[in-house]
Amino acid sequence: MMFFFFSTSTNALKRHNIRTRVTAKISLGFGDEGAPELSRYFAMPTARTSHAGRDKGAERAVLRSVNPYNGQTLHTVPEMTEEEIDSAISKACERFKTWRHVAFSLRATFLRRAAKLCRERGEELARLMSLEMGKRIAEGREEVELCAPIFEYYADRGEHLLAPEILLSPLGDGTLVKEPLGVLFGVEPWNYPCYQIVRFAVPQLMAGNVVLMKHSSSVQLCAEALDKIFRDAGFGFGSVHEPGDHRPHFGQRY
Amino acid sequence: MRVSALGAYTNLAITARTSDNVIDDDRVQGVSFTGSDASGERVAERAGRNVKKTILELGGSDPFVVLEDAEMELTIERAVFGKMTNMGQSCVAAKRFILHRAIADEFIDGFRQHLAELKMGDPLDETTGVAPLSSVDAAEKLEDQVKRSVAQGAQPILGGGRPSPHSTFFEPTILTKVKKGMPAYDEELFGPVAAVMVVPDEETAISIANDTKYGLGGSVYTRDIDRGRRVAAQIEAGMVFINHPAWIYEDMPFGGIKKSGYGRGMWSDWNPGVREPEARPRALISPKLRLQNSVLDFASVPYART
Repeated sequence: MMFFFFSTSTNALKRHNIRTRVTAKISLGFGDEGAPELSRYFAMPTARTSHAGRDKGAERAVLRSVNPYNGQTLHTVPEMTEEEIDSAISKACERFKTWRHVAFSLRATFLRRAAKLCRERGEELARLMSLEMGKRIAEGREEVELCAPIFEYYADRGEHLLAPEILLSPLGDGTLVKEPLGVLFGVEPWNYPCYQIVRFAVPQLMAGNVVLMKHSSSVQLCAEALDKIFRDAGFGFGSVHEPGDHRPHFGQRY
Repeated sequence: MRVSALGAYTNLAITARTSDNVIDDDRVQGVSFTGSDASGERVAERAGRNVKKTILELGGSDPFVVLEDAEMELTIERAVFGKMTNMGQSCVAAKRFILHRAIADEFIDGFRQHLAELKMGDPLDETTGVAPLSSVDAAEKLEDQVKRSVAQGAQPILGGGRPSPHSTFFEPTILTKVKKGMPAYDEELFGPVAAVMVVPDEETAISIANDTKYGLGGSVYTRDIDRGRRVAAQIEAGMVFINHPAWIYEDMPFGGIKKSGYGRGMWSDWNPGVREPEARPRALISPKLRLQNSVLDFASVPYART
């Protein structure tokens, strides 16, 4: 499979204050000779840390990223409050009123910009996936290379795919038009933290729908990195969980 | 209109429980869910109560059917990719390896050799072949499924468990003598465990391939592409590939039938037929457009205006 290497961007990791573990290179086989060392080493992640839940006495649930390689907590986010969710849905409805009328060419421009950002930040995204759900770094890079063309494909083909069709009926000539529905809610899993988001959000955004995204509790760093890509590409306000948010517990990070 | 102020994508930091309230909200028009069967059922039920459109992409137990005329080196290479991609934690990972008895030994030997060479390690290390699963719970669940299968007569000829009792790592595992009634046959194994079944002929291969509640992807291995198409057409799944495990292309609708869900994750004007991607000269792809009822899914509200 083809993928490209990009200059490493460590800014995001610094921003998140993630200390990348430096481990002595290990290469353990499955032979008997490797067994004792293997079991000692891989006994490390013994901590069973829940990815979502409410601590005793806590007001709100917490979403938590845990590195499956070493059991360390990377990042915690307090769950949004009911008011925040309500406000996000209201804003999304408001946005739909205008977004549905934005020209395909402009939607495509945003999507192409997002593809570019996705590639530029590919190394950062791949590292976040390795840290949060254990994906091998090379596979993370491949995933990013899978995502960028999705943005481009719908940027290039979306208008054609959604073009009205002529229907010839005995009653007269009709037109089949394809119009957006409104606010859509995506609930996506941790296994392909970038691809799952992109494959749902991108065609829908091109079609004029507005997307609310609930990513898996265990990959919130990836969720934030993707959110930032959509925001920086021009899709707008983005997350209600902005850094600098006044809520006291925001940004508790390992 | 101030275009720069438009915001069409919003990230919600919420738990699964809270997402129920979002599904209930009348301002939300549709839900797209990818994940486990159990959660998918809950989402569909919730959305159904609200008469709300859904796309569901749930589990899979993709068959990897190797016919007696398969090109062995290529097939083994693709099997390693199909099983080990994302450590098998993929809905379209190859899960059930259905082998014609004429080539079963050769395939198993080669497959085992390749898997045994992979080294466990840090996912950030370029040389790592076996990375951890996503959580201790995930590794524990898989270990339980393997143990129960072995207790019922499955034979682990490689791996079989975790390197230590509380590890997130799971050894690449090949289970032979897998039969109906075992978790390795009936359930989705979300990890690096290959369930192997040996069959006497093509007909039995197809019937075992279809003997599952899932219908997401699948693949058939043969030198005879026409035969591959014929067999692929009989496999009940949303996407069946020839000489390559089910995979993702930006212009190909993605999704399944049966308990694997409904609707398609991407839509396109993809020309049904066979395509040869440059990167994989011998991978022929045959998504089953005839099984799709709705390519455009959420993207649009088609209605006629006269």
